[in-house]
Amino acid sequence: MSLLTRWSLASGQRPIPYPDKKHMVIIDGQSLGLGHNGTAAERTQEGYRNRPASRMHRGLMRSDAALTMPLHGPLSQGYAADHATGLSFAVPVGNIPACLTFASALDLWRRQLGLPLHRMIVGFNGIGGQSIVQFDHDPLPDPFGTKIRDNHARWLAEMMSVEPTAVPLLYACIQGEADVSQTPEWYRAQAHVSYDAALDDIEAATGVRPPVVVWQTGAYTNGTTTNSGSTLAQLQLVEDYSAAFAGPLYPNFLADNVVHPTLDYQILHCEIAALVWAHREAGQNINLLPLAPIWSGNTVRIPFSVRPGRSLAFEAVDKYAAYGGLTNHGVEATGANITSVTLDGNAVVVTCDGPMTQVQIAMQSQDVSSFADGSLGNYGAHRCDIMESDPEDSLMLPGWKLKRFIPSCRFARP
Amino acid sequence: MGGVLRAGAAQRIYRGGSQMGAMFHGGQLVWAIPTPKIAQVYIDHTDAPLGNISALTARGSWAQSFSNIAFTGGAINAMEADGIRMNGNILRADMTRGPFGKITVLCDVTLTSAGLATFADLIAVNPAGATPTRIRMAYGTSFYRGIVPDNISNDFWVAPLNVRTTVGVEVDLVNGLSRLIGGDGEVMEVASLAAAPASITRIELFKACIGKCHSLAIIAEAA
Repeated sequence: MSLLTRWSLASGQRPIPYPDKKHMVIIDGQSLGLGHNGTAAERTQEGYRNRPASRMHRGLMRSDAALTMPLHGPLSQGYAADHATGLSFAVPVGNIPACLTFASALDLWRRQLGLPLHRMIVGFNGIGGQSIVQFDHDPLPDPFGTKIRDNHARWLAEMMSVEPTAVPLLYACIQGEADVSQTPEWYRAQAHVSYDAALDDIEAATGVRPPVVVWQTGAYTNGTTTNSGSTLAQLQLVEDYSAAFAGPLYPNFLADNVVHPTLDYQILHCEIAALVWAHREAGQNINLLPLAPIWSGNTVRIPFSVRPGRSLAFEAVDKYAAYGGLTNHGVEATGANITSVTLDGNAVVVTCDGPMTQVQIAMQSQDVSSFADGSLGNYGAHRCDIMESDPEDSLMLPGWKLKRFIPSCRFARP
Repeated sequence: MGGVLRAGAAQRIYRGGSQMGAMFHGGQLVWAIPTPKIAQVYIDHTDAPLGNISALTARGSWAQSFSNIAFTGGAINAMEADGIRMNGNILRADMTRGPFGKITVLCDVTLTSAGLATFADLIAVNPAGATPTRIRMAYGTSFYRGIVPDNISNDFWVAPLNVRTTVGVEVDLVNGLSRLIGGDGEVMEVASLAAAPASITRIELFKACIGKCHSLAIIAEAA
């Protein structure tokens, strides 16, 4: 009698029915990909939560040999020569990377939707604080050159050596905060270079070029000196790559009055991404994106791709009240003053006292850092309370809802 | 050889020669062990008499089991109403027969605190040998990991605190393998017993562990 059979008899449980084929969940980026710097209790909680679904390498070492490779990767240190010897349970040490949170949530949503389950190999190979230009194959600029690509390629090679049948499920790069001063055109062009570099590496290692998932960044508390080019370009990247859209990060509550969400909100934004991805696996595109606006006199009607049977809704709770407030639901106009912001089905209807030349949502250029609470908790400068109606219950955080807010967007009158 | 060695009141359920035994707890099948084996011991809080485990050898029907697997030490590893209290002491199981081809140890436990020492070993097979196989919690951590003979570590996460879970170790000398099984039935197999001991003589349980062991099984099989 096998150990597994004995265990099953002893515990009264059946082993979790995962097939052999594993998926690689590749989510790179800067600090929001690196994830929340968890306490010991938080790491234990997230490690346990992810235990059935997620796997990480074992045997890899950081280049300085200071420690066995943590789940959040070697960062700027790079890998030592030691090779991976297999896979193990994904246990966060220090940071809790977004790939781990996403994989955990996806496992739950696959179960919820009756989709096939697959164990997921997770790992992070980005570096906090880095511009999108550090994610390509160009040895310039300093300080890291091709470090991220080298680390990523090494991780892929090691994973394929220990799990040759693993399939890359998706590629994402939660990046953009380091490039908030750039223009949308600059960011879009550079993101193409860097995304393609990553996809080329993945395809070279695995033979598969996976789909892309895009998160919309832009949650700084001080938005007075930014062009928010990355924020706007990311909407275009969704179209460019036929990507799944994880949604905007601006609704998240921040833990540091700068840009980093609390663990709860990391879980929520990753679970929303997993919700979108799981529906994609089920054959449904539920990206929540702006559609072409309709201008008429002093009014513009901006429709969004809400799901059938749903509409847009204002969030019932004014979460911004204690953190500097919210004006006109996050809508701003140029060339005229807003007189009303209403919702009509799937559309935001903005009316002004004259013919406005531009309308934008959740793109405020403001510094709200002075409104942080005593624990440095705050919301970012980009704010809006318009969301898709009837949000699902979170499977990761009982009692919470997966509120899908409309993304930051800007429209000029043609 | 061997025969049914399951101890205590539940031994009655196990009669029937080579048929699989079973015990029900709260209406749910929680344990079953096939027979025969060279030596086999099973301790469960629903049928073992309360008191020190090491003293069970002197208690009636339990004596038969412990003539083959002798528990010593760990005076305060007492059987209580909901399981064996783990207070940090080592409960040692000496295998008084053999040689064995395979040893299986399964524990159904709830850990309530991080380990008391640098390493808290829930299960350690051949702890003093050159190639021990352990389920170990490092000091200050709140979860266990498996330590197999080639010192692979950080790789086998067993359970968080305060969550009841069943984990186990199998040391297969015939095939030169160690296997560890975690709380969800994931088996890690490591072919690392090339320098294995010729025999297994000792198992240590609960070293520096805090919590409850609701049931425990040790099964020794021939080559």
